Amino acid sequence: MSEPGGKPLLKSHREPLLHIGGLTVDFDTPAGWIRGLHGVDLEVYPGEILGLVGESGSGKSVTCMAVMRLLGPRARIQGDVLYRKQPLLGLDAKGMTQIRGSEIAMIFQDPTSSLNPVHTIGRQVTESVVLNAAQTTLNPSQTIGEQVGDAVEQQRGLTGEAARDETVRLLDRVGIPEPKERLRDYPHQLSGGMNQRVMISMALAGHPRLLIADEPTTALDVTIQAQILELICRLREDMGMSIILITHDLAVVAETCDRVAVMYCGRIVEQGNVEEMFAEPRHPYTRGLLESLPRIDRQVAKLYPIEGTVPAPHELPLGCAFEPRCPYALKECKLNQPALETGDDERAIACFNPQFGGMEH
Amino acid sequence: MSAASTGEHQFGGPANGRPLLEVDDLKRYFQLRGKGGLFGKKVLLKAVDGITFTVAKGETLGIVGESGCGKTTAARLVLNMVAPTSGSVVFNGREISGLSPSDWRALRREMQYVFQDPLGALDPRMKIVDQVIEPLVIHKIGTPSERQDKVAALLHSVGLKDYTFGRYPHELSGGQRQRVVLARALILEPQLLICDEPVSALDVSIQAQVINLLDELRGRLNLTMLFISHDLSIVRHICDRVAVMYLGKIVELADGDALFDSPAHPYTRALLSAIPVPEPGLKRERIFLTGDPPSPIDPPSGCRFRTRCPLAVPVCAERTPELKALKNGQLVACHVAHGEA
Amino acid sequence: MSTAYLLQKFARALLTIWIIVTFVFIILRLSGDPAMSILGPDAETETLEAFREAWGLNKPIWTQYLIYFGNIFQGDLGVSYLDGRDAIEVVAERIPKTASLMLATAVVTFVIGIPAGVYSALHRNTFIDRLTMTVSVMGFSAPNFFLGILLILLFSVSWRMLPTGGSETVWHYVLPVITMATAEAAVFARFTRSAMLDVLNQPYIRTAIAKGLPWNKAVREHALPNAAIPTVTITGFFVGTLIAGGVITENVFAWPGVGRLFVDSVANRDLAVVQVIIFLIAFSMVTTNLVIDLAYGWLDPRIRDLRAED
Repeated sequence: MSEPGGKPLLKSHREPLLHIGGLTVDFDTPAGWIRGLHGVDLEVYPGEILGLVGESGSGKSVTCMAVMRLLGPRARIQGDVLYRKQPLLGLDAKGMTQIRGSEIAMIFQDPTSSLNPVHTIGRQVTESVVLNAAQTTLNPSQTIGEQVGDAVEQQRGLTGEAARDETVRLLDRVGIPEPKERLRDYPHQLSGGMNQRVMISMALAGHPRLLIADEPTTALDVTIQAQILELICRLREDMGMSIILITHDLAVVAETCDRVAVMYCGRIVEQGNVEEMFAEPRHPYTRGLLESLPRIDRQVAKLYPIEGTVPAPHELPLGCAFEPRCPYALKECKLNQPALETGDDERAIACFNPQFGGMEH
Repeated sequence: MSAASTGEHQFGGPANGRPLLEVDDLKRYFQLRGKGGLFGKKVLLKAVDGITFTVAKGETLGIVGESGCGKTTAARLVLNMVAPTSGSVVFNGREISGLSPSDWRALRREMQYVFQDPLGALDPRMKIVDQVIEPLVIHKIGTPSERQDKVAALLHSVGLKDYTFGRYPHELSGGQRQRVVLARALILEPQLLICDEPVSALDVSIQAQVINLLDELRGRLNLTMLFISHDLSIVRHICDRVAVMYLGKIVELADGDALFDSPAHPYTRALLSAIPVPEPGLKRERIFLTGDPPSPIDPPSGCRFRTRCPLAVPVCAERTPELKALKNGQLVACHVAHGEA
Repeated sequence: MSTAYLLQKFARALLTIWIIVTFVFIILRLSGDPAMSILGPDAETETLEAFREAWGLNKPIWTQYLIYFGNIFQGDLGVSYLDGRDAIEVVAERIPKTASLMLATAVVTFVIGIPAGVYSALHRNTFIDRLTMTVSVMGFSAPNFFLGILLILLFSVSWRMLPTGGSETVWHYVLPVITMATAEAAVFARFTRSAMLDVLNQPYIRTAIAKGLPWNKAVREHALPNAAIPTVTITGFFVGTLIAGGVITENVFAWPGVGRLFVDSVANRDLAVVQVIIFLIAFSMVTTNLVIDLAYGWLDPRIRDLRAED
């Protein structure tokens, strides 16, 4: 597995590929409107893998689904989402379908149910190829990546035979053995790991600049997980894609990601470079998470869990959402919301009482 | 492969008295029909193909493996939820596989389980306090007021406050539900607790709470546990000895530290190397297994792992390796590990 | 689809038909005396006896049964007591009328019911959706005969717009078809809506959109084929209710079809004709279900594969 890619440049030196500002999502439920995201600020830079970590209710999936506008009519989205400086939230349906698949692609958690059970693998991957290759010809200046120039040349005017060949090539690229035979298979005939590779191949068909992977390995065995993560990292290097990796598993983040953002109850609580974050987690929630993990590489005498439970979205406390469970809570934390502030060292934290120094356990 | 032939201490703890649970060459095959319905070819799925292990009193044995390895079937075999195709399960010196349902009822006091889905395990229409009292009522233990006291005490000790007692399962969080399931399992003070992925469905920050609780309870109640999980980090933390299963067979069985620090079987090594560690920049040797595990319907001849094994040699295809002891006592089923290549 | 699979289905179908026919055979003979029904309760004992002798009704049931089945293999399904002709002939001449009525009903049901259901699912909780669902509840709540008679009262008697009974012109089809199709279309509308909603919630629809597929295409190519699978299930039930409802409707509207013949024959204990009709019904149901079973396999690739047995 590749190491985190190089030293990060200072923010001022890079243009973000994706900029999310003050993203707020409300859901229309039978119990009324409930806020799921409370003003999320996030940036993804070209060529990096950003980890988005959180537990249930953290809003990590909602954030990305909002970017892709996959939340459906019952969600009200506010804020700014800029992709290559182009605002996405105001795009009409047609504009959005052009972005999806060809510029920003997304893969999901349970690969076998994310594939249509009555279509063959070949048909579904070819659908992606035809869809997103055709769009390449519509906006050639927007989607030519530095490294994929000649691939795009091949993709122009992709029809039946050429599309099928491209499909086989994609399946091979993601490591599916005997890709020609797999064309006629159905999703239920393949294993979870294979289906996730199929999903990845569909996502890559349009050479997107940004791949969003929503818990891509959670439903898979650990040896398959290792394979898939290694594949994703390798493809990132080959294709220069940025990746948002959504996961609840901090260990996966440590091994795969360059930067990481930690979310709790619909907000980002801490964000920064992975090495620095793990060495010195400043937000009490991040610290708590890391301290509660059992380790495979050594025996720990005792686990140090975070006491209490995650509050439901409609029952959030007035001040900081983590305050009821926080061992370092101050009086102010009960009354006010800490804002996400970025320091000079590029660490962003939303906390009135951040902890410095390494962890005790 | 019986316990007698390889010496009891290698299978389970100090030899003071019989182990609480002895499983000997347990097998469970499923008959499947191939394509064609009634007229299709009959095919055998060897979910569990001859496993042998023991669990000493007060010990926690972990069973790990990936999907399809047979660990859940193994748990169900021990609990008699599924009848074995062959082999024996001996509990407290008594053969229990194939017992009649009425004999089993008495045994249920001694053997309880906690499975993965706490919501599914609880009756949605009963208050949780009633669900924990129910086993006492069924087995006619104590007077009503004694029962109330016992249940209240146990619910407190699993970390549930009074206000939760009168609630229904859907009104509790995942972690709270699993505590209720635990309380219900322990109210009868069983000797053996079988856990199958007890924390996988819970949030990460809650997992540690429940694991700590299990740890504390088994110490206090001197529980013997069979702990089945795919999460090896948790298994390392809570188990004394660990068995690694692959395609229906145990490929390695050793003390926790020995297994994790110096795994003897190539599959164990690959499995351990695949697990990510929350320490960026840690240099690790990654063993990548190619492809998917073969189907348990048509496993490879000889050693089942040989098709993905980086160390495979010709003898691996010819003979199935036996689970036997290395010099340090670790049990391994591998020709190469025993120098039989 | 393998031959073995087909053979198995076919064998089961035959078995089902055989069981039904046998069952009805026994019940009919135990339920009443044809002689009395046909000749009247005042007929003399000797006449009754002669009748029974002539038709072999005084033999023990099992003998009758064997004779009957023996005759079947020779192509003889009995003779109508009332008519004198071959039972098959008697029934066969009524089939076209019934078939045309059923076909018309089926067409109306599918053309109205399924699109209504799909539309409602796609526009969930809008006014049209709620309207459609309310109307459909009313539709399948009204019993067949009630609706039929009501329609006759309104359109034939009061307003004199449509004929009361018989089947000569196209106009004669209107009321009976409305009577039968109303409940059926309602059921299809609700069911299709439910199936579509289920499918629209599935992860693979989200994948299709995430790929960049426009919504319409995603519905057409991904949702509809999957929603078709459960819809095909109720088509099997539909044929059943069509047959049962057809019997009632034909009687309400004096439609000269098999349903009407059926009621008359049972009342008169015209055993051979009843048996033939039962045979026909059983055969239709079983064939329909067989076709649906095969359609499943074609529509849903998951069904074609391994099944676990213990």
